Amino acid sequence: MKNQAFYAFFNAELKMAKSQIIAFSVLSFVIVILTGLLSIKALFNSTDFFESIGLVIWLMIGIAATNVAAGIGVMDFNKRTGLLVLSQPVNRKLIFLSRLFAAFLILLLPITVLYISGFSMGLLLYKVGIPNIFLSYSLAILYAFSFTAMISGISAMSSEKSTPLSFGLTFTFLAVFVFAIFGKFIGIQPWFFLPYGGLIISSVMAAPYLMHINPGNYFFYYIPYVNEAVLIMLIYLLVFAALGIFYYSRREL
Amino acid sequence: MEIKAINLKKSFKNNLALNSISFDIKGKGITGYLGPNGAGKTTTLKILSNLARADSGEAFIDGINIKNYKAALKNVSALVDEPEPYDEMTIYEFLEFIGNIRGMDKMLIENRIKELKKELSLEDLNKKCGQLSKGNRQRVVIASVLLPDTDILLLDEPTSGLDPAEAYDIKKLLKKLKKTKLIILSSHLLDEIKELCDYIILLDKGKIIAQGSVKTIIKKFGRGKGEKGLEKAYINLVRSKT
Repeated sequence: MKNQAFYAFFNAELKMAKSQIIAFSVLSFVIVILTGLLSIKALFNSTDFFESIGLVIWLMIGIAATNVAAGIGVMDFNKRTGLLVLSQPVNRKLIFLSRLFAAFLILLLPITVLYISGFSMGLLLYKVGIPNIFLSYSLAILYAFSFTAMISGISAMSSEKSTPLSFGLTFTFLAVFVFAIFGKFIGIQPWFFLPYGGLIISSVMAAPYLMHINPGNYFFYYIPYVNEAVLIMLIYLLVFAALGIFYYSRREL
Repeated sequence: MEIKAINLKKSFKNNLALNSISFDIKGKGITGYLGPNGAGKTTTLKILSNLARADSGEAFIDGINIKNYKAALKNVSALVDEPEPYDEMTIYEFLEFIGNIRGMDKMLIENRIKELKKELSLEDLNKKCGQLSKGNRQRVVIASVLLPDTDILLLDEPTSGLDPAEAYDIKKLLKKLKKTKLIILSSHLLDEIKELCDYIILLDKGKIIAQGSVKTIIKKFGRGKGEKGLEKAYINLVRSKT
């Protein structure tokens, strides 16, 4: 029964997110094409191009993960569906986790589309593929999982879906300013900030020119090392998944 | 089959919703759970179905403490506070989803959906729940509650939103179900309670103010100024406490 209930919630989440999966995959493809066209226009070399693709992936993960995960912890509490679903003899932890895993799976398609189209575009324009593609792909998946866990955790503490949604989008779009303030101006690595860990996705793509400090750049002054980035992402993943489970299990209707 | 509550207390922001509620309902039949708005009916059913937690006191279903909700709710199905199906799912998908959550096997789910489609005159099963009228959504909700065929049903105003003909069908169904199940029926409709229930628990301001068989309640409290009946008993009991 445990597995059957898990798959019931997991499949329901996938079904309900079908249009989102398609939309983000198409959007990912279009953005890579636009980045390619921009690179031709701006006479980018291959390193600049792949670094830009990496930043596009970093940004897209923030947007997609926010949209996919914002409802996980709150959807059954601010709609009347929870009155039926949560009165069933099913462990609430299992419900939360099944939805979280479904969100992880949902994000894999747009991320894969980003990498395949980025790789193809690189071959077409510069006759080279993405450097460190498997490392970067794995880090992108870890970043997506961490971001999803963070948003779902916030969702479980919120009374409306708009709260995790606006939090995630603000977090994504204002990240560069946090980097600038803490990095260039205060001189502190923003190691406490998840998007800082996510910068590694683009950084490993710019190989062999890996730089930890980028003195001329306001927004990307510090770039994390791989192990630093992995640690930041893992901490966010574990802490927010645990918080999400805790709050989701204790909520009342 | 037994539902037992011992001194259940629940407050919402300094507002005492339940004030030491105790009851013990055993065996087949329908128990009417009656009271004015805000009396604590829905809160009690929410506690019994794990949608809310009591501040103090305990509740048991078939001897299992509700704190162990996975075991306690195995034989319970609840319709509390006007629930809704998922708009994005078809009627079939939603009922199948509930069946899967309950761990029912595929064949059983299919058969139960067929039976309930007939019994509740459900619309085209491939129609999305979001496209249904209020009455049809309520029928889907009732179908999802009856799908697992549990021995205990907690029903909070199940005929709400239904037209008289639809309500008649549900009442007919409840009359059939009461022969084999323990049902708690919360309702404002005194005629419905009188028609369906064997026993009544009357609540006001979070306290039980009377309980007994319908006949006893009418006999004891339902007289005055030439009128008699359950309505008079209800008015006498509720007004005498205000």
